[in-house]
Amino acid sequence: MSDLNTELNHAMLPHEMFSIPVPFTDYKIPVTDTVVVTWIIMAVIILFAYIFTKKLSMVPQGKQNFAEVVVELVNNLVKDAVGHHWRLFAPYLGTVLLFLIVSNIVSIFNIIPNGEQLHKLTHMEIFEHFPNFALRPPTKDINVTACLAIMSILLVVIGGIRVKRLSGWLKHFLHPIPVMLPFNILDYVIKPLSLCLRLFGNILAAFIIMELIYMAFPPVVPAAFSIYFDLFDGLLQAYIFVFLTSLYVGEVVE
Amino acid sequence: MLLKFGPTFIWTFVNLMLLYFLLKKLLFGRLTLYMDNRTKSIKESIDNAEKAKADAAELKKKYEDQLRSAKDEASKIIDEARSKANKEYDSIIADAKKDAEGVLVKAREEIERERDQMLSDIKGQVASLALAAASKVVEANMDTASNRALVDKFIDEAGAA
Repeated sequence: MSDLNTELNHAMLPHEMFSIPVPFTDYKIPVTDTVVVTWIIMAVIILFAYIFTKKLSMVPQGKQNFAEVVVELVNNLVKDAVGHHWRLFAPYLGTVLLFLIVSNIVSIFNIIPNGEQLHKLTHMEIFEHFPNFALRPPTKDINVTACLAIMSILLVVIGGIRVKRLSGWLKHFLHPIPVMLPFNILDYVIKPLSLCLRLFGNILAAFIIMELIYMAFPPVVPAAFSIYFDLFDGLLQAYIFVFLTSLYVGEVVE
Repeated sequence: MLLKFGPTFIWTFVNLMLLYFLLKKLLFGRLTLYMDNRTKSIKESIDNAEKAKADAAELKKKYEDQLRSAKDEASKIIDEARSKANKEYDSIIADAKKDAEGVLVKAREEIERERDQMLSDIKGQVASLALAAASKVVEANMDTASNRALVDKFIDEAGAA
């Protein structure tokens, strides 16, 4: 039982894989597996973005169609929520959407063997250092969701000031009546908090359930549950996060 | 442990900003611009086509009008020419008729005059011929008054014949 417990704890919690020393100081910046998975996800997204937009032509063909569908989807989503200032926000919201989609469902691609197995297979020393490395969703780390949520609320603030100018933006705190001022200010705390905790809670919960299912019924059963907990929940949470952020932006900018 | 904040927060910020700038350059900004340009160019093409169509229709109308007026003018010219020709024809015919009539009258007068002349000439000659013939026939009593009267009577009769 304690064995299962440590295994679950290890999977659940981010752990340091290596650290980068800061020159001229003793401090070392730790790099957790969350960050490494983030890098892998970024590399994949950028690689795909590069491949899909390498050759652009006025008459779209093949891969370009797919890229255009994705961009159009994001643009329409932002257009619906934000209105005619959508150009300012679509690239960031699209980036977050793509990142969250891949992040949340990344455990589906966990068919690669973990570090321990890779070490046995290849006898390469590098894998010995990361015996339990696997593609776990970065969004199960509160640091990531908190950062995303704070960036979202920063987008709302910066976008609001950019579009409405400082005076117009400050005035919206008194909207619709001046009595609402404290609640409007509170909004800027509650919104990121709810964004952060919703994403974190959903993904972590789904992740823990999936880990337990993997432990209990190893071979076939997890696949069926994975479709719901990894794929469906992941896509839904990614969409909800971006949709809510665009709504918050639209509320201020409109 | 679960809610421990650490350098991962900063890492995520850096990573996301990097991803944002790369994707904006590579995917969103670029493709949005591309699609906007395409929308614009398609709209321009359609507008141009519409304009060309309108121009063509206008030109067609203009040419049809021109053709119609040209036809009208041509028929007017032909009519004019025809009436002019008719008038000319009529006048030529009338002139010719008048000329022919004049010539005819003149010729008739000439013939009359010639005839009168000839008749009077012949009258004289017949008289002298008759005289000579008679004098040959009667020889001696030619100068009697009764003979003379007989000759004149004969001449008058011959002239009347």
